[in-house]
Amino acid sequence: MSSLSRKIPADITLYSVLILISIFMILPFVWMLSTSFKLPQDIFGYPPRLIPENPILSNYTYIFQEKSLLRILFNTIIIALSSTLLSLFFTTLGGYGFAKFEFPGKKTLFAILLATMIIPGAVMMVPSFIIMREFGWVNTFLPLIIPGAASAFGIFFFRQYISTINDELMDAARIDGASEFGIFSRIILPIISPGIVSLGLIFFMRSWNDYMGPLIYLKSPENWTITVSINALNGGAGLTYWGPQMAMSVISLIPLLIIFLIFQRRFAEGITAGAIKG
Amino acid sequence: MSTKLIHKLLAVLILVSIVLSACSTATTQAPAQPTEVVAPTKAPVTAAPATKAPATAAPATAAPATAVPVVEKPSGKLVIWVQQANQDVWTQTVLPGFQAEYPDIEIEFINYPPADVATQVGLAIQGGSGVPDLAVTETRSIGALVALGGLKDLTSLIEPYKADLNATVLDYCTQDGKIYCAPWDIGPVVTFYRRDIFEAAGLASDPDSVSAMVATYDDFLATCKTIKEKTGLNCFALNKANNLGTMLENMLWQQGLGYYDASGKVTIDAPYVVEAVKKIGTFWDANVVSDALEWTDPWYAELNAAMDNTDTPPIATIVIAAWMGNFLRTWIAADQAGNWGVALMPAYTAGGVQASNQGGSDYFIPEGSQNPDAAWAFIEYVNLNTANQVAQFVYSDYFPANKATYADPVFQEPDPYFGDQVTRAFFAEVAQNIPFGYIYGEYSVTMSNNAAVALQNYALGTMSAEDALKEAADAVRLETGMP
Amino acid sequence: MARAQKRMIPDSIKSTLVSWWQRVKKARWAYTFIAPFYIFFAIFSLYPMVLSLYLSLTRWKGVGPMKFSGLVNFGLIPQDKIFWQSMTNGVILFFLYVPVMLFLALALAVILNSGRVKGFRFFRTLIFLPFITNMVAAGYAFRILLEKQNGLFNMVLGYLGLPGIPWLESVWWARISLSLLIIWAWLGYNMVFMLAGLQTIPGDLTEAAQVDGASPVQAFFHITVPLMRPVILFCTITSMIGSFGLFTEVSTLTGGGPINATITPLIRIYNLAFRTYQFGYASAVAYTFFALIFILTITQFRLNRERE
Repeated sequence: MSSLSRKIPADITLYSVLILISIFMILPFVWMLSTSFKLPQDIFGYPPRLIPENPILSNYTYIFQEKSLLRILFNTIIIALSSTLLSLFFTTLGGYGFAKFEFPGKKTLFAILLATMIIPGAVMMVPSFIIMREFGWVNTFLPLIIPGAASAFGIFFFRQYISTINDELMDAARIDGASEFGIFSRIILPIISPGIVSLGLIFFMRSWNDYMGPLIYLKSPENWTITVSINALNGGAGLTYWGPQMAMSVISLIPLLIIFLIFQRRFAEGITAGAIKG
Repeated sequence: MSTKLIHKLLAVLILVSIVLSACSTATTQAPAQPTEVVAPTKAPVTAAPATKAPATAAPATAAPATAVPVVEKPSGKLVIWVQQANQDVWTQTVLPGFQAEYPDIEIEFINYPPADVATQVGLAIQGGSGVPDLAVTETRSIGALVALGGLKDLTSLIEPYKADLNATVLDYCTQDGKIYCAPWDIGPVVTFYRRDIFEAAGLASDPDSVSAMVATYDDFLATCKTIKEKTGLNCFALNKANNLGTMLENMLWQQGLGYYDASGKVTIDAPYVVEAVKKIGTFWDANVVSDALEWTDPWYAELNAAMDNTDTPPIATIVIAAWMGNFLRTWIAADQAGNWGVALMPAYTAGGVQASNQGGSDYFIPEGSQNPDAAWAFIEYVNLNTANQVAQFVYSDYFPANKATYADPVFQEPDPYFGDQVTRAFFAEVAQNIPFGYIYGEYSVTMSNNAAVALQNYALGTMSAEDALKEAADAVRLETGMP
Repeated sequence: MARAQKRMIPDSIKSTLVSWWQRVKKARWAYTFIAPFYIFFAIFSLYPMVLSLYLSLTRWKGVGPMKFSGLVNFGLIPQDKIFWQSMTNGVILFFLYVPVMLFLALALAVILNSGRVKGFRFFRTLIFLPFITNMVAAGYAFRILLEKQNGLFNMVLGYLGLPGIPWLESVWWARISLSLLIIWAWLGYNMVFMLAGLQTIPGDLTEAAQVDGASPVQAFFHITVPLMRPVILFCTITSMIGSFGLFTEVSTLTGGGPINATITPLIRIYNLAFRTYQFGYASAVAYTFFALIFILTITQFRLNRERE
């Protein structure tokens, strides 16, 4: 009996904590959504209203018509998809190489791989810009797709993953006369497809949400991604279009939200794998 | 689906994505070689819009109106980078006329937030590609671009108009005797004041009296104290933590001083700057200022509030440039029509100059421009043509840098928003008195930022004025290499 | 002729070389598979790093020739108050948000994992949601919430009879606001790590402790936390590197904060390079930053290893 009476107030505390934190997590989203339907004078109106008194759709029509949001979404999708696919290709390949092959210098090469993971991007910000300039890649999507393609973290991740695959599968295929690349694409890839989805989601999200890259490399508004476009609505001299800005923010979240809700488990796997020795 | 098909699809997808992304640049890829701008009145030229001038032709000096008939008008695409507000001004006034005059010029506007045009052009020049054909940016930022290089030399083209342009502002466009931009507007600083609040405080509310009441900053302080006593209202907004430093800039500019001097030395920690900062401090000490930050919603509310508004009490004055008048009239303080008036800004010392400059914008053509002829045609028609300048002024209140416009009758019109005061003539007079101030220039961004931080430190009491300014000056010296 | 040459190389070395080459040939596919990484690394990381090193020895401003000027830049760095302020800010921010965030993450993970609350999936999803948000949208959303006069937070404080807080207008509150944003964004992420880690701890340990009379809180601190050390360490290190590299959050929420109170080293480098075009000096600052972070990370590893 005593344990039960101890349980109830304890449980209430637990639930309260969870609920309070959850409210804090949800609040900005809710407010973003609410603001996106408000007239300018209601955004900082008194008293604050969750459901606007005079909801409007003009913030949304504004960003689609005046700010070419479709074009911007298109840019963002192209960049995110390209970089994800390219990264997945190279990281699965590299992970396979490290997982299933022995070769001279393997230890050293792998150590170099790990070492590259501690270099902060700050060191490369300036010179990357300069070499992109040399290549003529400024104001194109290429700087946002190509350099990140061979991600050390990705290779590390797939190395772990692939090393759990039974060698016999590959040996059998070799006996049957399959080419090395054929083994990779026909045997390995299908087996690791859950991992591909997990890591692909992470890559996609990182590219979609990237701000600094597009800020530095995408100059013309027609090449912008959605993060830079949201920021551009913050114009000095009082011309901050909070309403359209929140509307665009809402739109920027929707694709990722949908993907996340469908692939929740894969997302979690993608983050934690490689970090927890399980 | 067979795995083979999946692989093929994936490969195609990757390839397509890469190709699409490489072809993403819709903007012009600037050629590396500069092209020479050909004025419309040259001897017959071939079809190409940008060719080298024939060696025998005299340099173009004739004004367009009386010139030899134009043989080949500039045509083709013209990409203009400009902030939305400026584009609106053109659209509502001069753009139709321009298109009629130059039907073969196809303009493409690209909007950036105000502060970004200069940054983006600078980066495009740095990046070697993607520069616009023409751009307009704030005078505050033009110095850095001029110093960067990569702007077209407009000296010979602007020669016929030079005498009419405000010399002080034209100076910012000049480097080594060559002119690299064409000024559009300037920002003569005045004191906008609330007539109703002055009257409620028992003070006179006509412009001349108010100008006398704020003749120096000490007089201004005394007036503010009176207003606070009699009405409980604040005098103007002077934020502490995020102060932008505009008051400091005005104080220095009107004395013909600034953040650096003619010899290229950093002067942010000079005694006269310390003195100015302390003078600003007297307003905080007297508790006559509000804490609203410029360009935020509380600030707008203060400017638009009625006298009896207790939630957001109004402020009595604002010392700012002439272009603010239009903002007040249209989107900030439309409710207070008739309640605002315009007086002179305070002088730093008794009898001193009651004029300064804040803001202003300029046209410029990057070297990599693909249609410099069309760009110059635009500048000439829209900006240097007196009648067109006046039209834009009437619409926007952007005060013209072109002195020839001041003779136009519109300058004598009364403005109902300001209680029928003849504000335009007023601004024109102030404009004539603007001295050269060492505020804008190659390093204005870092100078203004650091000076503002110094003022913030002083305001919040974290550092003394001397220490804060010394730190700011040292930071600027470090970054710029100036002594 | 071949015979004559062969006799000149000792047989032992020859056979080692041959077998080495055969191993390389046998592994040529492996090399092909891993080669792209090193090629990309060489072009897009190594080359820029070397270029950056060279740039740090010039005062180059982005145009014109790069003139060598020796260690001038590095000599200026000690006097660069804004840079050192940014490093201090990184440390301050770290202590402001990391302990709170990790404690909350672990606590939430324990609560969810304990099975005593229903709706594990629901809460986990909700708390993880901010992770998918881009920081531009989040930063501006927080700005609206934290607005001094009419933002929601201050309005709520007003209803409770409390004075409004100058969230973005005071040095320390700006830092706290930034911390709030970061905690909001990363709490779920860290919680997921903790959950994964908890699953490796046998559940009966804490139960056994409670049978022995320990309260749940005691069990938490004396059993769970020590066992989760590796996970906590991992999260701490990644957060530390993160707190110095904040960029988007600061740009959108505070713009560097009142009096440079929220500037981070990354922002400092960015401003130097892309606002004032001081590419040479910016490179020197970047390398100094790299060195400092490196030392910090190594120190953290060493400290942790000693404790074990």
